[in-house]
Amino acid sequence: MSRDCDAAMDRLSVYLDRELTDRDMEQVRAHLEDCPPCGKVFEFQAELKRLVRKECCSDDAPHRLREWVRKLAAQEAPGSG
Amino acid sequence: MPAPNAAGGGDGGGGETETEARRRAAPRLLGRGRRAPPTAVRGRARVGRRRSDAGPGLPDRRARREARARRPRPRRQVHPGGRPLPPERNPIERATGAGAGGGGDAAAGPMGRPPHHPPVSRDAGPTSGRNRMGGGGIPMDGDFSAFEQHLDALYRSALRLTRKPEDAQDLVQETYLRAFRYRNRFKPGTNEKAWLFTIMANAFRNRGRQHRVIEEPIDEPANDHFIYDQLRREGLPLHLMSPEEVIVDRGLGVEVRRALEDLPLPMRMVVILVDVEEFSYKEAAQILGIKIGTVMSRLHRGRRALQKRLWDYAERPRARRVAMATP
Repeated sequence: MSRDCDAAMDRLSVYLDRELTDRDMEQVRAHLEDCPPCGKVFEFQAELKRLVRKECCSDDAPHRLREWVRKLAAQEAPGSG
Repeated sequence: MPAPNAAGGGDGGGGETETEARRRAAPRLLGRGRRAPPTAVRGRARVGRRRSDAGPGLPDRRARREARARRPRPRRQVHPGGRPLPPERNPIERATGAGAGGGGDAAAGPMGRPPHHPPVSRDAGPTSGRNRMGGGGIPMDGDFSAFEQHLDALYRSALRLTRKPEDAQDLVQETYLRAFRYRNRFKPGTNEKAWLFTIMANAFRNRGRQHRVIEEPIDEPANDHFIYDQLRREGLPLHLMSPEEVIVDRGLGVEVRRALEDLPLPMRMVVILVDVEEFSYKEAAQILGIKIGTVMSRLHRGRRALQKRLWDYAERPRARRVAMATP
C-alpha cells in the first residue's frame, strides 16, 4: 500500500459523505480511479452506506399518525372565513 | 382570521367553532390519554408540568443560542430532502450506477424546487388545497402542512431512537405539536427538515433525562472498513463479486436496523442524521447542538461499531446453521 492509498483510505468515509473540500474530493476520486484495490474498498463502502439507508428507510409513518398531523395542520388553514 | 397563535388562543376567537372542534379532536386520534391537546398548552406555567418541556421552541438553551447565532448569517441553502451534490460527480452514483437519494422515502421532494424558493409556496400534498393562497407570499404559519412531508423521516428516526412504535409515535406527535406551537419561529427559506429534527432531538433528549439509560461500552474495530477486511481475510474473491452480492449473501442487509438500534445513543443519533437522513455534518451539528468535529468522531466511531455489530449478527445464525447442518 502506497502513501497515496493510505491518504485515500483515511479520507474515504468523508469522501463518501461528500464533505471533503473540492480539491480533496478530486484527489481521492483520481486515486480511486487509478488504484483498483482502493476502488474496490470504496465500492464496498458505498454499497454498505446505501444499504444502511435503504434498510432504515423502510418504515413509513402509520396512517393514523399521518391523519393526526394533517388534522393538526388543517387547524390553521388561513382564510377559512 | 384565526389567531396566528392558534396553539395558545383557545379563549380568544369566539366565532370559530368548527376550527375549535377540530383542534380538540385532532390530538385524541391516537388515543394516548396523556397527550395534551394543543389548546391546552398555553403558557410556560402549564407547559412546565408536561413531561418533557423545558422552554419555548428550542427548549435546550444551547440550541436556542445557536439558533439565534445562525439566524443573521446567510447560510448556504440546502434542499429540504438532503444536501446539494458536490461539484464533482456523486461518488455513490459512480459506484452503484444509481442515485444516492433514490430510496423511496416520503421526504422525496428535492426535485425541481430551486433552493432559494421559500418552502411556504410549494405544493404541500393532499392538504395543500385548503392551505394555499394565491401568489407565493404565504407566511409560514399559513402552511404548516408543508411539514407533513417529513413525517416518514421523523417517524423512522424516532423508531430507531426509541425502538418502540408507540414511543416513536409519541415522540413524533410531541415534535409536531411543538413545531405547531412555535411555527412562527421557523424562518421560511431555511431547512424545514433540519428544523423539525432539531425539535425532535431536543424533545428526545429531554425524555432521556427522565429515565436515563446506561449505555454499555461498544465494541469498536480499529478501521473504517471492518467488514471488507474480514471478508478479504476469509479469502473471498471480492474482485469477482459485486459489493451487493457479498452483502446480501452474508445476510448483512436484514440486520441493519437492529445493529443501528443497538448503537449507543450519541452515535446512533449522528448515524441516523448523516447516513439515513443525509444531513450534512454541519446540519447534524446544528441539529444536535454539538461541534462538527464531534459529529465526525461520533459518526466514524458509530460506523465502525455498526459494522462490527452487523458482522457479528450476520455471523452468529450462520455459524449455528452450519453447525446444525453437519451433526
